[in-house]
Amino acid sequence: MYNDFLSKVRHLLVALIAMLAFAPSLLLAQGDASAGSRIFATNCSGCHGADGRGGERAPDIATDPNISSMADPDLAGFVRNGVAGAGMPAFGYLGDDGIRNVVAYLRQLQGRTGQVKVTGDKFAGRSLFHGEAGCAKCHMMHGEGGFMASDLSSYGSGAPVKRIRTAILDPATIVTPNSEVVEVANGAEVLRGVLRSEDNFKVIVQTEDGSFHRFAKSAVKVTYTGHTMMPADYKSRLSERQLNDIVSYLVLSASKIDPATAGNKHGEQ
Amino acid sequence: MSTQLWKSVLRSAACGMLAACGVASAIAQEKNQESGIVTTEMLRSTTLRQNWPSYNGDYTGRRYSSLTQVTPQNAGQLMVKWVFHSRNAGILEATPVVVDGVMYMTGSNDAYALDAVTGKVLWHHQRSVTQGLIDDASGHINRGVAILGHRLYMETDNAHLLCLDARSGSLLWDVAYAPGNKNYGATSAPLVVKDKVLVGTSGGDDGVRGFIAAFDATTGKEAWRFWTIPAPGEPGSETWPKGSAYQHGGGTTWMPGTYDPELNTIYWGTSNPSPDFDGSVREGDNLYTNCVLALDPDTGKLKWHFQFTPHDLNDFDATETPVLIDAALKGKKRKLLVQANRNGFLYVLDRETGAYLQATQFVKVQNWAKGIDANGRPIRTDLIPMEEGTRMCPSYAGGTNWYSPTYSEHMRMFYFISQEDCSVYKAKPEGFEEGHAYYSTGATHLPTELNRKFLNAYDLSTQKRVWSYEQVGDTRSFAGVMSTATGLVAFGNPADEFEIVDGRDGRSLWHFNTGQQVHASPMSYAVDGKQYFAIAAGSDLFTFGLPDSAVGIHTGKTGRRKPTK
Repeated sequence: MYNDFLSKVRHLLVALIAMLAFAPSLLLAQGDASAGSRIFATNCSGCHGADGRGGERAPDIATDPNISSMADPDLAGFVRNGVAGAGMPAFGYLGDDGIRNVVAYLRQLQGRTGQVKVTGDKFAGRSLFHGEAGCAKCHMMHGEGGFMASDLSSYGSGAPVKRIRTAILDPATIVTPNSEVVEVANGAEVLRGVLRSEDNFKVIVQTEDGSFHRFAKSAVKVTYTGHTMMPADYKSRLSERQLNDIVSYLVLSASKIDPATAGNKHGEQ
Repeated sequence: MSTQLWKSVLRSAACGMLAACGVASAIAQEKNQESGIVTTEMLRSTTLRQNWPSYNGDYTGRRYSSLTQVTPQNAGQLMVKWVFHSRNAGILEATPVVVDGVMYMTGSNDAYALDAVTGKVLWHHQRSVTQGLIDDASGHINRGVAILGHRLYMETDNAHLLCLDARSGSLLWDVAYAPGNKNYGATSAPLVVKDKVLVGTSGGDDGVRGFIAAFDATTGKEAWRFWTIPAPGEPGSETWPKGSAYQHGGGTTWMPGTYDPELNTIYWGTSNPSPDFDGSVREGDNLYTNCVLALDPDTGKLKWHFQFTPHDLNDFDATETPVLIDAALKGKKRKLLVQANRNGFLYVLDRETGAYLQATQFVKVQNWAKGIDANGRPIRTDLIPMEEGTRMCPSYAGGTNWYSPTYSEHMRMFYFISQEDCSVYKAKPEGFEEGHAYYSTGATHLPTELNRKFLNAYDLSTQKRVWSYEQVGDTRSFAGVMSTATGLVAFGNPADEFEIVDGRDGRSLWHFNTGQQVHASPMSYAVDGKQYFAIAAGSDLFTFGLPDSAVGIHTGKTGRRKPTK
């Protein structure tokens, strides 16, 4: 309780300082994403992560389709009022402009900023994805592909090209939750797989055959590799043209997330 | 690293963690060649031990677990093992499916894979609920998944069949299977039979035309569709007035059917006709509403049907589980189908022929029928819903409902929950309109009614109720029953509790307050030599087991980490 109180005070102070520091831009901006980025860094990233993809205390709000498909006023409502019971404080004190800016920045994180220009050949990209480049060994795209990594069917929808390129060429910068490769040693035997769940007592690892393995931490030694299963060598394996083709495939054949079908995840019925 | 090595690591780790190896004598290992795979052989097995691979556990629909670790002697020591909280809209009505230590659960349009020992989420398939639905569909209810191989199937609130990769939750395909009337919804768990996935719909109070549809489990291509309301000229159409009434006739299929592999027949219950309370626009018996349908699962061809409530006027859906039991009756060993029907009677049919064998009134009070004739047809009283209201019993919630019954092979007893209640049924002609329910007025509840639930033990051979356990609490619960090979009967009671009784006499052995209404049916599974019970309540799923010490498991190390400074 006491800690909760302290953390609330801290939130409030941080928010106040942020407001004072950026007051001019708050007043002037109309959905100013760069102003929003500063608000995000001080108010949101502590729980939702710097990239909005989830952190220790709050969920992924960048790639979760249920969040990204919400209309701006709905997102603003969550910021303004918080989510009672889920630990999300109300940020009404940011003011309408502050909230608008932070939503604008969240849209950037979600990659929903409008048009994305791609220059590659999506058909060639498709062949690479499902063939030579090996993406589909782990990733699924519209029901075809593997199961160890994320489903990319809607990943490229409106996503900035730069972000997709970085994810492919420099995967070490993006270790999304529940995707880290770990090694679990029990004596001389070592099991390698992806960490799907962890608490103080247990780890659950999924191996490449799809099965899940649960271990008491006290009985094994867990080594965290700090990287995902994503190969680190696409920089040398893919030509610039091939990379463009794959990015084009991801962007141009991405399922659109239709706000009209967006649900009210926190609604009553 | 070889798969061989992984497996050996897995085994030794499991033993090291729980020190359970060798203790689990009662729980036979039924590991498949490949972990996590559901085969057609597994689905056909009627012995449920560690796995519970489909909604009712097995094809018979009897919800009987062969696990023996929890007994009448030690059930009092049961304790909560973990709780899974869903943030989905609506209340959880699913029965989880468990395969090789992984539990598959749904809430609204979302699916989850959970570690069955810890409740941790292994994956979560998110799908927004559908806006603009009406009536039952707008509650976004979902009763769970079906699995075949590595593929997981579920229905969505707007009647899509989804196929997910059971290892990741990624979507493989999505088929919208109920076009043409936006009043369709879906709430059931699908049923896998051989190489097909069978689905139904909700919307029987909303003027849809019911059907059962089968899809190729691999491709999602439609294999057959059986319309529960025949089109003009088809057999059964003579039980409807001429015109378009059949297009809005109801007869939906909102619970999974059961299946007899030997007879190659599926048994599926159908809902009330639409509109519910005004029968004047649908003169006739209204086939195939309020029926159990016996269909060929390969072709969808009708083998026989039995109608419990011809020309229903009281919302007496026949969607309660048609339980398949092989037992002696009237001196002859038979293949039976037993259903405790919403109309207040318990029916026994010959499931080979569809022949009516017997019916027993199980509610204490009913006034819609004088009895059941020699052919199984009800002899109606003069009461029908009127514009000003008619008090009739059972209530519109039924003498029982979709919550599961169970047949205990150990006790040779059929257990189910009944409800004593009456409604004031009102009828008034209304036109069908898409986007609106089609009850043609409604039913109200008088505060003066008794309104009580009972857990009943029914002996098929003597046609007698052996015992009846009166329940105290809010009767808006919708909780089912299961049984085990040690004679236990587990159920959700109307006081928000999960309870276990001795099947011999109904003596209560243990209960746990979930703090929320129970609208689901229980199941049991085992992992690493340990038996669990699971039941959803409110927006949470609870699992229970005995303390490690009670089952000879000694963990040694606590697994607790030292805090770092």
